[in-house]
Amino acid sequence: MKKLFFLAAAVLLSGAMQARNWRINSIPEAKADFPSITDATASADVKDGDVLYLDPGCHLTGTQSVSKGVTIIGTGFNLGGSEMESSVQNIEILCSDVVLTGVHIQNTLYASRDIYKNVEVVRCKIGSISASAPMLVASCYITSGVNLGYNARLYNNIILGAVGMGQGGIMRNNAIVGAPRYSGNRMVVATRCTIIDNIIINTYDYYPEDVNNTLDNTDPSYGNDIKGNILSTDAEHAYANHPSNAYVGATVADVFVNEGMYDERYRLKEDSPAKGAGYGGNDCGPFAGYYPYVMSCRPKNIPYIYDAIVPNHPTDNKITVTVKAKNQNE
Amino acid sequence: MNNTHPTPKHSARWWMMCLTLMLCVATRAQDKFEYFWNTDPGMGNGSMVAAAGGEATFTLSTEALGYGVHMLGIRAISEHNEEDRDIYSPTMWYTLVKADPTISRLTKVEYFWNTDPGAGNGTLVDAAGGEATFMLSTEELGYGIHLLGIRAMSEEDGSGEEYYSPTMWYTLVKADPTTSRLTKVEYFLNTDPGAGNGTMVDAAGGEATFMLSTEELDYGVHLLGVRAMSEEPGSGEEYYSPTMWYTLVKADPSISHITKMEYFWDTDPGMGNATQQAIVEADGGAMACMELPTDALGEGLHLLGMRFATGDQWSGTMWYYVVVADDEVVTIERIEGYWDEDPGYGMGFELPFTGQSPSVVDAAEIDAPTDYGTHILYVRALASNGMWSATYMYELCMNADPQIEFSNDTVCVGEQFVVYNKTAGATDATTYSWDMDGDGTEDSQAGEAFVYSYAKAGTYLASLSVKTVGDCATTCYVPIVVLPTDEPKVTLAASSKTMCEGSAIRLQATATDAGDHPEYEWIVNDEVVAITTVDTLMISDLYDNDKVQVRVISSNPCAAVDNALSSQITIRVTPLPEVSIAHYFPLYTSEEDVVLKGGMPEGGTYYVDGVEAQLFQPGGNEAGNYRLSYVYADNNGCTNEAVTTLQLRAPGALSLLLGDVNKDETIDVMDVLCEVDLIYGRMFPTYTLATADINGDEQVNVVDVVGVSGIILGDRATAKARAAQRRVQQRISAVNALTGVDAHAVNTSEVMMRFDLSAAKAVSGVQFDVTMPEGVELTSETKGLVVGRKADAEDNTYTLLAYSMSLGAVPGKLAVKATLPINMPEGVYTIEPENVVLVDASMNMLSCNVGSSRLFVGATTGMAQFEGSIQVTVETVGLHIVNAAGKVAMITDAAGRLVLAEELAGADCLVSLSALPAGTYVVEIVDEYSPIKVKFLWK
Repeated sequence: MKKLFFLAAAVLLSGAMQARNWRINSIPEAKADFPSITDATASADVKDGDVLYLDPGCHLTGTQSVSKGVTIIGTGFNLGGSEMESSVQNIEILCSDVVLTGVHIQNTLYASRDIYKNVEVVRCKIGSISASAPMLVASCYITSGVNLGYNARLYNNIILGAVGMGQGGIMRNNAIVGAPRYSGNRMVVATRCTIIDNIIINTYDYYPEDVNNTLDNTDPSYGNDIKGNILSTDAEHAYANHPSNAYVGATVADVFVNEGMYDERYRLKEDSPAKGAGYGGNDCGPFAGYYPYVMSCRPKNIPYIYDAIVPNHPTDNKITVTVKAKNQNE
Repeated sequence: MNNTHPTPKHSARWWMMCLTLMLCVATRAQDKFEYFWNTDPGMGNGSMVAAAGGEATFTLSTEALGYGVHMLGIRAISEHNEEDRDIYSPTMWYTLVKADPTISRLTKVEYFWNTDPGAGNGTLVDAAGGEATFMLSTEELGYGIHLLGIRAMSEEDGSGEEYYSPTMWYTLVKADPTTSRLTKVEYFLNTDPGAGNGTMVDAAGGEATFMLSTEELDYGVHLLGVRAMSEEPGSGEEYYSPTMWYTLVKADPSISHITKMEYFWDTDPGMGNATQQAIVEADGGAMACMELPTDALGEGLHLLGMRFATGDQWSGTMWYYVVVADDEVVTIERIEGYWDEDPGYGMGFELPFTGQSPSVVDAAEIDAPTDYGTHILYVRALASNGMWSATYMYELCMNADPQIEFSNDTVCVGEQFVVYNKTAGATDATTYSWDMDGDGTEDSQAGEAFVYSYAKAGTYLASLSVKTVGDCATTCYVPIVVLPTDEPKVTLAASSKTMCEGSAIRLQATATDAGDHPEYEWIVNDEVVAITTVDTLMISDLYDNDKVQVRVISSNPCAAVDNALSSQITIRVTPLPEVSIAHYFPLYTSEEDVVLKGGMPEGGTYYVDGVEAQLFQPGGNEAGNYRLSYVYADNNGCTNEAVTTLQLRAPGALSLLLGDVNKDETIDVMDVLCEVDLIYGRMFPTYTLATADINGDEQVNVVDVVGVSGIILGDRATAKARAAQRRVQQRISAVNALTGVDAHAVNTSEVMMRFDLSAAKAVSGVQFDVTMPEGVELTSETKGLVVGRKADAEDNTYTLLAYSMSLGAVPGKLAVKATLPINMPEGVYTIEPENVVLVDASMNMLSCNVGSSRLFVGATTGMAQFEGSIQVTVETVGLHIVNAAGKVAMITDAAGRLVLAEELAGADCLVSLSALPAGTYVVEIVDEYSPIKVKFLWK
């Protein structure tokens, strides 16, 4: 087994020692530093480079505005045991140098201006993304569509919907599964992008069988570099200009284990056609490549408490606690 | 490495060299050396040189080498006797410059590690005289991957102008020999093909060096990635080191004069503002390399920008993605907690833990706040990378401690009892809320004891919630059982109301209002047969029409009646079917397969040693005893079994005697499978085709008869008999007359009747038995019979055996010395059925009667002579028994089990045997004077 190298929250690690940590929780009794991300990043006390922690059990409603270059750390999702998740209804990024990791965004992530640089969204569960910022989205579980602007990078995500990419974008090692009902029922619309080692499966029942149902803009005039992908398009409708893809007419049942909850369903089967089918012989899909997907999107190198026994009333004015903590090294 | 054709402008001049090396290494007598040029072929794969005495001097020819710079690697090899393997010394590196003597004016050689310092700024080695060879020390190098650049310098005559050859590049991996399992080195240019997919160089033995050819490279800036691979012993798992990055610039000398290059990570600082490297144009064009340290980069994907300049004119920027991995294992360094107010990260109280990740705080005791109200315990963890976990919250309610007591442990419906409030630590501000029935509705706010009762039976969870400060509530719960006052009731069900004899059924009692721990009395025909605390009973010893019922003894003290009785259930018990299996004579392992049969009633299943079978294969089994069982299930589903033993023998000397039907290795009367009725003058040998047709001629006749049993009574009658004889003589004149006046022989337990010797020449009649007097031997004759006789014996019982040893017909006439048929005087008779028991060929006439499975021998006329004696005749439908009125005929099977007993109502009875399976039986009729015991074969 090859031990591959990958990324996790690189930016936050580099500056974390000097940064201040802030707790976010909308419940007053929790006595957090701020009740919302909006309030935190609007505060003069919070500086660029600081870290905002979403308390376990914290659910922030409305659209949370991120107006400083901070790192926001959530709990991940689909956690086992006694752990509580945190979530945010919507997030809108209004500046550069923002990192989101482990954050569960129930609805939409916005980053509407392309002047926002160094925006990284890593290991998050997100409803959908609508962004113009040239952001990095990696190892995320996205339950609806993604629409990104120029020079965006989309690595190792599970995306249950269609994808639109601006020029200069990179889509690599994603699993893109869904039933789009626009643009000729195709899954991905991109121009001058690099599209490598993805699994792209159109599950829409009513698309004509005699058409390409996965990638738009396959003509060389669009400037897309498309190779090493597993596609639900069958060989008969292969893109003549991009022969290095695996046109297998792939279905969800062919490729994924299709068992378990949420992201667990998208692990590759032992005999998946995505095994070794990527460019250079690597696996296609989110579990290979530069940002291998990790279940539940726990943020890398962030410790967490996964079990605790704490009585709710004392005995002889003392309580006996048992706490179990781990670091997310993977 | 074909840069041996310098351009005219930068003409380098090369000399040709021949090396003579003398190596002296402190080694063993069996040492040897190996060497290689430029690329390490791996341990043991270089050119070998013997080194007797630890020294070697050898000449290395460089004729085959091209002009230019070469690396020579040499290492010593000693043989490790104990482990039978070679041990290699570290590799010694030498640089050798081979110059073209016709054009070269080589003056110096320059080399550097990792980053090109610019022409003339590396380590210079004097090459005056046109030769250069020097040893490269790697001692100062750290463990890891290194890039070695080497070039030659020549000096123009007269002008002193220096010219440099193109730089030759070598990669050298230096591994820590104490920890490394380095097996391969891989490198790639520009695009990382993924771990394991680059160009691989063998590094077995922990070292590797190889020459990097730049000949195929396009002009421009290139990215060189190099990493090492190690392999885990056993598992074969591969690990890769972080990638070392280098930039290589290769310029086209015909169109550009590169003077410098620069690079930056992620963000472009602007032309000329990045990290720069000066380049001195060299022979063959500019060539430079620069190490790209990634130490300061965070883990992840980074963008590398590189460009070069000609004067102040910069090229376009070339972009590369570089993944920087962080293999550091982050552990938990601290777990801290605090109450209510955050003292700041790292300022809480420390919770002791074990383990690095996972880390466990195991039952740590923490002081709780003392003031009443809601408090929150916050817990978080710090990792070794400085990152904190989220902050986890656990609520604690400091409050009075509610406690409940009841006056009764259990109460009856409607019964009033006292509820005590035993709350500890209460203050004047403490309030109480009672929920006695667990329905969520407050039943009382009493701070003291109060009286309560329940209207319905059941188990309730009574609770007391107390509040002292705010909404912080503490609740305790106490269960209480409320018993009904209803009388107990019980019903009974049986798993089946019919059962087979000897089987079991399950009885199930269903009690209501009988308390938590009732007892059950199980009753059969009004008698208690079991008492249990469980509500089921398995019962098997029931008889047909037994009546079962159950009584429940209630444990409920609240009921006025303490027991209840169920209704009765009548159980029908079906007898098991009568099942038998025929006796099997022993078998020899040499015999053919035997079809298993003889089980009755038909339709059952045979098992040999518990395994269902239809055949028994003597040849396929070892000698020994086998349990043969026959299992039959009747229409009621009742099953019974008959068992016999199959004896399997290895054949012996006597095993194959023809006629040894019963396999006792003796041919005697027991081989005659005929049963003969004890009726004078009538014999009913019952031959079966299988057993009687011994010679296999498909006929049963005399030639098959190898023995017939018969009895001649002793020639001396008892005194009583003699007296009777005299009386007979007085009445009967015919000497041949035979009377059965004394049917009660003394000491002849097996003999039914005796015969008078009524005249001097009259002989006895015939009877059957197997018992011979002691000392009497039988002889075999083919002509006539010689009957042994014990002199002076009274009541002798002789068994006659006549053998036809050759299975041929008994020739001639039978001279009867002892007349076998009754009513015949001594003499010579034609052998006829009427006359003899043992006959010769004329007995063929009887074969026609075999079809009815009976052989009739003898005269029925003799019957009249013995009126009044018990007589048994085997008929086709059963036993015909006469003169036994009021007595009981008891029939036992071959195993001695009583299978039928029937009282004989009249003097002439027919006992039906239709219910019996075929087999060997004995009928016995007990009579004070003439007991009779007859073995017969029933078919």
